[in-house]
Amino acid sequence: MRLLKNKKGQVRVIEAFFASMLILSCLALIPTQSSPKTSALNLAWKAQNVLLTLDSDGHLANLVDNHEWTKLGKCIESSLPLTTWFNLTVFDKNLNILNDFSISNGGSISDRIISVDYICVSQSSTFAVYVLQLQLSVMD
Amino acid sequence: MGKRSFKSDKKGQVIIITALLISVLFLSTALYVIEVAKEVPIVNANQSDVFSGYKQSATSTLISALANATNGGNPNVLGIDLAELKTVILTNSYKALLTMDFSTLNSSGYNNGFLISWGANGEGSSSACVSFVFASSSPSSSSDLEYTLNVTSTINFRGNYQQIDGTKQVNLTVNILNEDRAALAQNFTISYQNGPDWTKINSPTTTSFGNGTYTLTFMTGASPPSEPLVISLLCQDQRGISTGANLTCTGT
Repeated sequence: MRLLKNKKGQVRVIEAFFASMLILSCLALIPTQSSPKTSALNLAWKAQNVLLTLDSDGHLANLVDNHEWTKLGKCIESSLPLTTWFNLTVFDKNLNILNDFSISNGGSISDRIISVDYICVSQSSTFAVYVLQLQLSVMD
Repeated sequence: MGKRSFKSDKKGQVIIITALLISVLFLSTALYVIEVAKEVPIVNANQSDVFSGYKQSATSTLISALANATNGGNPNVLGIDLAELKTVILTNSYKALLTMDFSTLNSSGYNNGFLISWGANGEGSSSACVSFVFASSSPSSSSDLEYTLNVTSTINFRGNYQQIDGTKQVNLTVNILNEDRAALAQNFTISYQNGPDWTKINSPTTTSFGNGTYTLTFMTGASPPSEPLVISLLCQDQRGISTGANLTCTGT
C-alpha cells in the first residue's frame, strides 16, 4: 500500500531508464575491436591465400626450381598490402634451407608474427617437393 | 502541484537504485555475450585453406608425373611421387592429426593412374587420375575430405596435302586441350612415314591463334602422288605433358 502511494520517484525512474538506454546505445555504436586471435587467423588466411594463388599455375614452384629468390620476393611483396611485413624461407623436403639470402621486405614491424607452412610441388618432369614458410606481421 | 524538493522527495530512491542495478545487469550480460562470441573457434575455415594447399600440391604431383611418364619416364612414377608427397605433408602437419590416403586408378583403361591413348585417327590423350582421402582431427575440430583429381592433355588434328611437283605441302590444324579447356603448346614434333622409316620435319611453319588452335604447314620430300601420307604429331603442352597421335592425310 505504501509503495502504491509513493508516486513521487517515477520521473527519476524513467530518467534512470533513459540513462541506461543511452549508455547501451553508446556501447552498441562503439566498433568492436578485433581480438588478436581473430587478426592472427586473418593473417594466416592471407599468407596461405597468397602462396596458393601464386602456385595455382605452377609459377611459385617454377621460381623455387630456378632459385629465383629475388623474383619470388617481388611476387610476394606485390601480392601483399604495403603495410604488411613478410619473410619467406624455402626448405627442401628434408627441411634444409634453400634460399641463400633473406627473402623479406625489411625488418619486422611488430612482435606479433604469424607463420604459415605451405607444401609446394614442382610441375616439371623432375619431381621435387618444397616447404615454404611465410611469416607475416602487420602494425599493431 | 507542489514544488519539488530533493531534500523532501526521498521516496523513489529504492526504485532508482533497482533500475540502475538492472541496467548494470543488462550491460554485464551484453559484455559477457560479446566476449563469449569472440572466443568461438574458427579453426575449420583455416583447416579448409590447408586442404586447398594439399589439393594444389597433389595436382602439381600429377602434372609432374604425367610429364615424366609421357616423355619416356618410369610408368610407375605416379605412385612413387605421391608416396613422397604424403610423407612430406604428414611430417609438416603440426596443427592437426592428419591421415592421407590415395589410390591410383586401375580401371577404365587406366594403369597405375595413367591412361596414355595416342590414336591413329588424329586424336590422342594423356591422362592421370588419382583419388584422395584426407582426415584431420584437432582438439577444436575434425574434418574429412575426399576427392578425385584428373589431369588430362588432349590433342586432335586434321589435315590434308597438296601435291606440288614432286613434293607434298601438308597443312594441319591442331587443337590442344587441358582438362577440356583450350591450352597452349610448348613445341611440336612432326614426322611423316617414308616407306618403312619416319622422316622428321625440322622447321614447320607454325601459326598460333592464341586459343589452343594451331596450323602447321610443311613440305615433304619426294613422294609418289598416289600414296596417302601418314603423319605423326607429338605435342608438348606448356605443362610439359606430351601427347601424340597419327593421321593418314589425303590429297586435295
